[in-house]
Amino acid sequence: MPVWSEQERMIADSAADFFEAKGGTTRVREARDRGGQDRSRWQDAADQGWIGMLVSESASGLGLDLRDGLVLMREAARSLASEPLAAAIAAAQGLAALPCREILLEAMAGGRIVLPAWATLKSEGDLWSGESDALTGLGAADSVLLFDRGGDGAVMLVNREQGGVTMNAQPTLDGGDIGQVMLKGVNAEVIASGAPARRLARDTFDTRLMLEAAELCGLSDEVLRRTRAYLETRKQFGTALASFQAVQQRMASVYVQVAAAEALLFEAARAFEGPRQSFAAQAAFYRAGQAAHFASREAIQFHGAIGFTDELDIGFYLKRCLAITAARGGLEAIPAQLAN
Amino acid sequence: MIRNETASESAFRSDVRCWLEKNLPKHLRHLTFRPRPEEIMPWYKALSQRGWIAPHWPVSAGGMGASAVEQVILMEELARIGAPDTPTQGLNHIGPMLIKAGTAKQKAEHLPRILSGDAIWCQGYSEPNAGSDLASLVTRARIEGDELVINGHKIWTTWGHYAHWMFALVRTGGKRRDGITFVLIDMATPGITRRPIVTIAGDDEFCEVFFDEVRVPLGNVVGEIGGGWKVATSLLDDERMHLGTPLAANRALVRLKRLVSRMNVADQEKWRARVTEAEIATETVTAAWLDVSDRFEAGVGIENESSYLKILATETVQNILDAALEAAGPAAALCQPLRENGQRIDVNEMFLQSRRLTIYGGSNEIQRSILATRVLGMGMGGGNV
Repeated sequence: MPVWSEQERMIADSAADFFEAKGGTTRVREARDRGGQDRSRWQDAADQGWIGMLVSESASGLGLDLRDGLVLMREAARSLASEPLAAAIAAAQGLAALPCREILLEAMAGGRIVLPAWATLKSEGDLWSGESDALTGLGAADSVLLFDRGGDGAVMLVNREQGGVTMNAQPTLDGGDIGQVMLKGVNAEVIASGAPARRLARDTFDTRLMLEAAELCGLSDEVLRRTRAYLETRKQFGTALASFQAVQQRMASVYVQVAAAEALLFEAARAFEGPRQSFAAQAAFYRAGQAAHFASREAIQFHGAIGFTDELDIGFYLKRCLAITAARGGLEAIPAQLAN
Repeated sequence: MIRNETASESAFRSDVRCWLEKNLPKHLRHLTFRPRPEEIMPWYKALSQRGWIAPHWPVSAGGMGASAVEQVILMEELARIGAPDTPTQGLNHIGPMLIKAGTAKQKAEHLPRILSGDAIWCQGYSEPNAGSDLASLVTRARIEGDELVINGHKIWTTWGHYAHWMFALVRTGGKRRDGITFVLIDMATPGITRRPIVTIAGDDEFCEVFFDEVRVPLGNVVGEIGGGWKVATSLLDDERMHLGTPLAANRALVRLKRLVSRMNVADQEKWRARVTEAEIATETVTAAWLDVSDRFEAGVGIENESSYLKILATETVQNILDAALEAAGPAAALCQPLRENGQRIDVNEMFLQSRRLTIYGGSNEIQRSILATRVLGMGMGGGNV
């Protein structure tokens, strides 16, 4: 756990208060039962200025840095917020580097949900076709900032209502959703292309990955905290479960992985704008994902039968962790992708 | 290291890399076992003369006063070129203890000789019946005039058979932690017998030491008579930081890479993801070590948290060497390292040697108990998580 600055501590505290005041983990049940995002919650997050937190003050953002973003997302994850805040923050940062001032202002104000997506597209003249990678939170998105991996690395903004654009999503276990943007002969304006566009595509991707890694770290820390508290109160054989060495040793193993993932996350932030940025972001996501899967599974085990019920929130942490990592194609593939 | 280096850090890295290329003898590269003193100490002295032997010591004590990042750079470059293990008990254990708790005379006598490599040190803590439960030690010392007279038996003493000096815990009275005294013992004193112990890796890395009426001046006591436990544990977090450095993980990674590099192209392709995973694991240890160093520096409470570093670093090394063993294929069980194109490629030496990492310095089971009870506060009716 890094030494936090005063500002980072303030961000963490206000984020923790905010998410708790907005219903804490009950949000995730509401989202699941409703089968979609509640737009008023998005507005609340936007009102905090968080969507534009990485956008400079001169562009009407909060002008904070990546580390601040990590601190925020780490706290957001405690309440299992399934809104695509990480993706929206990364998209806003991307928009700020493009001639998209109006859209950026709308996005930061919460009036328009803009998410980033990556795709390998085909073009015939001005008409674009293809489908993007899986994208969480697409169900509520109004627009997608689309980065073409192929060709000239074109960047474009496509809207839900636009002709030829399909943005269908399916619900996920965590109360969120996932889907792909489909383009069929869409007449889209190319906002940027070439080397700067590719750099922006990479930076946006890495930023989103880091913010999601922070969520994974935050939810790991939260399940560790909740599980420890439970082990202290639950008694069997006349003594608290926390006093059993078999349980202590395994909890310590969870702690080691969670602490290591957090250390790597904040170290990776120091690699930004340098030669190892992408490696760092992927590595941070990989280790945070592993720690989160480990911590949330052990948490269910240590809660015993009650941990297996829908009634207790602890199972949602595993589901949230699964939703975040599955959207990236799982963890197994990451080292191979990095090696290539 | 994944963070962006400053210009001066990059300059330091290339300085280290060039100097090592020029000065580290070829026959000392990519060895697993610490070479014997006659082979290793000239190298130790060369590093010392270059000013790089004690990066973590303060400048006022003759060290480099290096930042944590500079220390990582040194470790990475030493691992990269395959530099051999040097004796560390003086540099990492007794040196820092004397800097903190030694008398002016003790400092003046011992610190320069640790730095120069003229004195090799060993640690006399463990006994046949006092391992993880160190406070049960029974090696006795009685006070006669201005001397301590020591009788007993120390074991698992790393490099004890080569050491000139030992720092030891002996019982001057009392029970458990009370009545333990911390003392410096000249290994040439009459009454000391040493017997090397061969490890599963085949080297004689440690030994047992017998004391029969060994007379040591009272001036060699560090701290108070009976106050040795406090001296020995005052730098525990500091010591676990040494057990948790990324040096060994980097060395293991280099071994894995060398084994993969001798495969045919198709197999190398298959192994690239495994190597990358090992790189991520190594960078994780580095990040954790830099993080705890930062917290040390900032004075943010990290008491006992350093246990996590020891667990993380040592188990990462073992995991990487598991992969290395697999990468060696049928050669994994050979008695000798491979020799290809004039290169020495270790197959199983470091794998075997690394089994000790999770045992020594407080076994990983003990470290996990410390984490669970003192950091997570489990079974104590409270906690700070």
